Amino acid sequence: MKPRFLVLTILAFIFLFPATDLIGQDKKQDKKLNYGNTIDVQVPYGRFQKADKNFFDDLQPFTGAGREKVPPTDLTEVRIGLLGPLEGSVLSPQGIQMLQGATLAMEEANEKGGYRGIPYKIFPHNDVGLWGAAANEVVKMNDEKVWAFIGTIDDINTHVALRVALKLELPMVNTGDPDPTLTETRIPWMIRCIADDRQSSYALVNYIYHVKKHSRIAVLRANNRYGRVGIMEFRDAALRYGYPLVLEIRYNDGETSFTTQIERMIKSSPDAVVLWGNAKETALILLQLRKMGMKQPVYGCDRLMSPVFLEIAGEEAEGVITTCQYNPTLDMPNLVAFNKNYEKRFGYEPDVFAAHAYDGMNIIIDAIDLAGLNRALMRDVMTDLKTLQGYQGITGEIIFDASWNDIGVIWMTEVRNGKFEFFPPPPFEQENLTGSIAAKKP
Amino acid sequence: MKKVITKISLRITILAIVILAGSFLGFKLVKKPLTSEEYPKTDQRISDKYSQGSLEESSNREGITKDTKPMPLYGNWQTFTKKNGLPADKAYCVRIDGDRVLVGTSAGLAVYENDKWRTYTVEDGLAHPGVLSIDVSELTGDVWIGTLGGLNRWSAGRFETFNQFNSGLANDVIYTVICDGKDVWVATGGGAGSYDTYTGQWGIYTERNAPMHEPWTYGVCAGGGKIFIAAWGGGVIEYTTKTQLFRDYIDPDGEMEIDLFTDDGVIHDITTGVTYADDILWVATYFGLSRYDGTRWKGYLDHDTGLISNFINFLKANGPVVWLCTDMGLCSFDGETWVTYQKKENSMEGKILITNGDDTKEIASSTSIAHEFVIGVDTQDDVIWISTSKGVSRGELLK
Amino acid sequence: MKKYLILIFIAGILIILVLARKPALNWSRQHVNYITAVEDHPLNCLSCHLYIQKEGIVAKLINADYLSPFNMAVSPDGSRLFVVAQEGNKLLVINTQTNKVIDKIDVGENPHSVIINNDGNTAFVSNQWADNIFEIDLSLLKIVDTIKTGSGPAGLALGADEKFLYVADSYSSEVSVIDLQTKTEIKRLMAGNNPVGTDISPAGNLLYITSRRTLPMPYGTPPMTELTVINTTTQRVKERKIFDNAYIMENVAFTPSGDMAIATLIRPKNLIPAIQIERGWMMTHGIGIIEPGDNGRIIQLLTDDPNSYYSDPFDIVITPDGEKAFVSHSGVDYITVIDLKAIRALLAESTPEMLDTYSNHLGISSRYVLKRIPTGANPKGLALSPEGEYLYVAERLEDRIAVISTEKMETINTIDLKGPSRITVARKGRRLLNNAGYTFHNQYACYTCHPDSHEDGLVYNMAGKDMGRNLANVQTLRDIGDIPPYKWNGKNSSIYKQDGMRFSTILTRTESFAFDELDALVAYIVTGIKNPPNLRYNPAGKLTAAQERGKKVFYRTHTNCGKEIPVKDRCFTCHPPPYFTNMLMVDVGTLSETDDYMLLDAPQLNNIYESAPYLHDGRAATLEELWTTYNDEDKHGVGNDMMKDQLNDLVEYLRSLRDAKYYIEDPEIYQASTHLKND
Repeated sequence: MKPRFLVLTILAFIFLFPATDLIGQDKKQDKKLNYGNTIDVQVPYGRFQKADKNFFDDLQPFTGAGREKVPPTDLTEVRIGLLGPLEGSVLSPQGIQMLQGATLAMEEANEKGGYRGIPYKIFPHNDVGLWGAAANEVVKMNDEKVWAFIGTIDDINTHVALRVALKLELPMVNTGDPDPTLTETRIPWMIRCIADDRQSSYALVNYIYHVKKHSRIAVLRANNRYGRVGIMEFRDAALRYGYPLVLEIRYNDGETSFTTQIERMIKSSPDAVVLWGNAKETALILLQLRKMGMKQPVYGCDRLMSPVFLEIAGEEAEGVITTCQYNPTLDMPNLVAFNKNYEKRFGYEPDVFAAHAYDGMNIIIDAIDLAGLNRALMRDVMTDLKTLQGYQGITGEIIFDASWNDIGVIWMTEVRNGKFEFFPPPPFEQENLTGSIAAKKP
Repeated sequence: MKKVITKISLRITILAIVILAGSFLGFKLVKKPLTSEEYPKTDQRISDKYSQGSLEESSNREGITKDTKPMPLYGNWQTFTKKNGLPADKAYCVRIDGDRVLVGTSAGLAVYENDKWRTYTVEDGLAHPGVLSIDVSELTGDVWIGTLGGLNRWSAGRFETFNQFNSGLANDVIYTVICDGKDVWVATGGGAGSYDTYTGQWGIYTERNAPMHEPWTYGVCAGGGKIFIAAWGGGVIEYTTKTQLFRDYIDPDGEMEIDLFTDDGVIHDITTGVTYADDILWVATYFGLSRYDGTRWKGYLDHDTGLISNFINFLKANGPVVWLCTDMGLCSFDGETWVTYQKKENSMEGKILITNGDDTKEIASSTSIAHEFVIGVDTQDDVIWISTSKGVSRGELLK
Repeated sequence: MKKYLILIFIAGILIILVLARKPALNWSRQHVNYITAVEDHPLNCLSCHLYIQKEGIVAKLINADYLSPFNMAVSPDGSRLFVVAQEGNKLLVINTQTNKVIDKIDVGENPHSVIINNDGNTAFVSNQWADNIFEIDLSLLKIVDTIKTGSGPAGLALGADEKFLYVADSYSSEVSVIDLQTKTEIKRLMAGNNPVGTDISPAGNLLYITSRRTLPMPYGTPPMTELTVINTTTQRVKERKIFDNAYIMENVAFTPSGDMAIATLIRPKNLIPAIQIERGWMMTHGIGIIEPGDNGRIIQLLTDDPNSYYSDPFDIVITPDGEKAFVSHSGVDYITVIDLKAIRALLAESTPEMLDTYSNHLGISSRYVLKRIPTGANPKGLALSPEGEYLYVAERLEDRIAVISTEKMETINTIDLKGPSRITVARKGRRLLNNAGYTFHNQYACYTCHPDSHEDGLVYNMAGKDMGRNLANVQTLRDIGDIPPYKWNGKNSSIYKQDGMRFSTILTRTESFAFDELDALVAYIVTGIKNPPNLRYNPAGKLTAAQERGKKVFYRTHTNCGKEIPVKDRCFTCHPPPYFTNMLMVDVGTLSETDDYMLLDAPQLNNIYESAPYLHDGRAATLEELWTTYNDEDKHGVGNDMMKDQLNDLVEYLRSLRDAKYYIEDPEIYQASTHLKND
């Protein structure tokens, strides 16, 4: 080998294979480092400008006091709070499921002896109420001396609760609110063990625009924070693929006639329709848009994946595709046992909120087992991205990012023969999508 | 062999191996995400970065003296905890009121007067033991107390409670309360609120009548004929008292996970506090600090300024100086010079970091603040009080 | 033929009259019996129907405009007495040498107090129903300036250097601090509830302000009334002295040495069954003594005698030598003379436990009451001449000033203010309403629980046969002539019935009013009680933006979700203008365990802002609580869908409601369903 050749070979080796390639696994991690599992093409402003600061590159530590506190010795029960829409809300069925899922986990833990012989007990609080009731309820939980709490489903109530949790330094595990902004608050007292609407949107956008090759999408969403924030990531992702929505219109919860909105959708000539809202209204919309002659495929958010949706939409539900934060039909022993035990205990099947609350409660119980009865230490093990990273829950492997958001696997469903059939979302294909952007450019 | 391994090729090979090894190690060190345990302690982070000095050296204020007024330095810290009179170690807020100091703790209102602490709790009329914010009306001397369970007016010993059930208060969790003449403003879990003490009329400002995304507010301040509201997720809401009109200031990049340009507007939409003095609005977030002079915004982040941490719990401006309560210590800044007060780990000693541009000096201090997780601050004349995660501290201006 | 026809016609008429007499008499009897709830009230149409005329020529002929002297001040040289004529809206200037009225200055509506500066050249008059102070140049006897205040300016005090004027804002419960150089209000300090009386310490550094109503208290707890202490140097509230189990603290006076300040007060026992009236201590009356200083005591002593009460103490003055105090008792027409030496001796020898006992001790007054001096009807304000030799007493319902020799302790002269010379039926009724003579041992007058003919803010345990049940929140007397029925349970269909036999059986526990007295009392209640203007919340009839929004909520027919609100559950169904009551009985889901089942009379809402607490048993401390706390099932109007800002708007609108006269001809009035029948 000639020296020059050798030198060139080494230089080529250096420049063609960056050092990180040698690390192998690190290279893969780096590719995942975009916040929120965002592929390169979807990084905000990524193709134009590097941001001055990416806030979630690092973990936000909690540097406050509290780790030195000695656990009480006179406890007769270990109290865990639960904040949810338990009565008086359209979300109450889901809230009840959430409570039941958490209850089942607690009962199983108590059967195993609780925390060093002390039983766990849930202190449920209803988040439904006007005027920021969730804030007051978290204060009450703190007064009740809970060690951590689970909550809640509604976006607004969860945000309100989170801020109080920060002030009270009370660990919080969210198991039901997919609002992407929830974990973008840099509050080191909350983890979320359910995939958010960012993940759902990415999956839907990829499926709709890349797999199904649609390009004109009309969105009809709930006129509330759930609808507004939920569709936000979908809209941005679609736009970054080069497909601005052709229409985005709203309806109010409780509405039963959607003629006006559907007429506008028809005028926009969409390839497909995306619905973002609760099961009842979206099912009614589906019925009405079919009745008004719209034959386009219909996609929806995870809340469509509900028996209520199937019941109301009936045959028209066939072919509707949604996302779901887990797959309840997987043949995992712990999931199978959960489904069986839940149905035995409560008389009907668990839903997504029950399943995630079950995992959430178990995470809290594990944190207490590991750290003892000390809120700050419990927080440490829940947020260190080591101790509970990759937690094997009944909803699958839970992977937290630096904002303590669950960026684990998400699923998709399609209604076939009156049932939701689950399938994994197709992989993202950046190159083709980027190409499509180029193709779309005027 | 001789032909193959020439001097030049050997040199280049060695160089390449060095580059390769260096880049490998560099990537390994730089790219690996840090976990909380691996996160450097503040002492470590600072000492890596800054040169050393002593308190005596600081007396000449070399490097921080400006044309106008030198940055004040505080020391002789005295700390109070549960052991010497506070009802709880966790102190959310502090307010100097003439000869006394009012401290809001997690277990009641503590008042320091004549070298003694006295605690007021629910039995005395406090709305809730968790006292998050305190302000004193300059007009009447009445103390307004924001708690986790309502708002108190404490006037000459009488506690009057306002909550969302017996009054027009938006929500019972009061993150901030301030007095602006006869008006009292609150930032609550259910919106901002105003109370006109003359007419008894309450105002509620939410997404229904103000440019907020949601009714979550965290901080409020008054100045320049305006009220500024730190709206959680909504940036800063400005209310002009004369015209009763609102406008908002939000992060122009519209993304929660990044700041595209530091100086294009408020650093982040999740704002935690606002303060106004000398015609400057300062905005705290958990993502950095922003300054607004009425025309231009400027942002400050911890990676390229003397700001010790982006996580700012509270801030308060006094003249040209803004005091920042961060999770890594107490910070002061006058637009040019940063001064940070920290506690040495497992020690009663502290240190002061002074940063001017790229130049940073560390000064040892025989006393320190109670804890680096600072939550509240107030200054008056030559005295400063701070509330922290573990006790309150009183410091004196170093002459 | 024509003659016969006329005769036949007359005869026919006579026959008809003769034939109709008996049925007419029977009908009249039944009508009167129904209205009065007795069977022997005289059948005299005029006695009832003539004197309740509120407007028109007849009303003008049978009524008169009285002056009603209220508070007074003496010039520093003693040559002039200035008298506030509360209903005449005048400041009367009296020459104390001749005891004649020498001038009448028109002042604002319903003036309350007057104060003279040290030079004697300026007077300040508080116009309680105009929310301002008149500055009067006494050399010109003319108003030279008007200074705006808080709501309901009442008692006045000048700071020691006379640079600042302090005003007790009785309706907004504040103290306005007025800079007399700029003639502007510079701040307001929170006072007690319904502050009225003021006095400044001899050293000039402390200002004491009394208040009449209890502070807001947890439901079912005794009243607690504040005396506010203001440091005039810092112009901040220094202290709030609390008088437990007391209220209606009208006035306060410092002794010249400043060793004591003494306030008038009433000690009600409203939480025990009203059967205690016959036990002798339902309402007791006395003084509150404050020892200034950090450890000064607060003592309450009664001025009553065991079998004779001296109700409704109003004003107090202390002689320059600090030895005697004079207290006017407007409910029994007496002045009590108190020996302050004896008081000092009693306080010196008494332990806290003894003083606690004395606060309810009816016999202890014999230790310090020197004399009782009778006066004309309804003695109110008192004023001493500079040297203290004369005491002037405003006999409000006599339009007269009594002049008492403080040495002889007897009336030596009277000054006729030249009000109307005749006593009208309504005036007679007003005297009755203000006089405790018809209550067992003179314990209280109607006025005691209805100060200013309004209400006293307390809840009483009106013992019926089921003792301890059916607690009653005192209701205002304003406008009630037009809005029967009466009592919360609506059992009394007329004021006659309300104030007749049953009234004496349950409330006064003595003889009931004579029929002519009852006629007079009704005449006054129906014609003589005015609502104060609602200057605080609705000064000119133009609603604020919030009130306008609240009005829409009040008159809404659909919820926020668009669901129609059933007619019976709309605000304006039960509360239609002009009185904002449909005068029907309704169940709004507010009965408590201590209530017998009953429907409740929908109350009027005019000036509702000054009627806290709310609901029949007073359990709602604020208007907000009606919906946030006591309307779980939407029975008291559909409200649970409201956002908090909507509720605030609704409350703002309710606070804006003023006298019914503003709504009678209001073209905007929505037609309410007054025809609704009770189920």
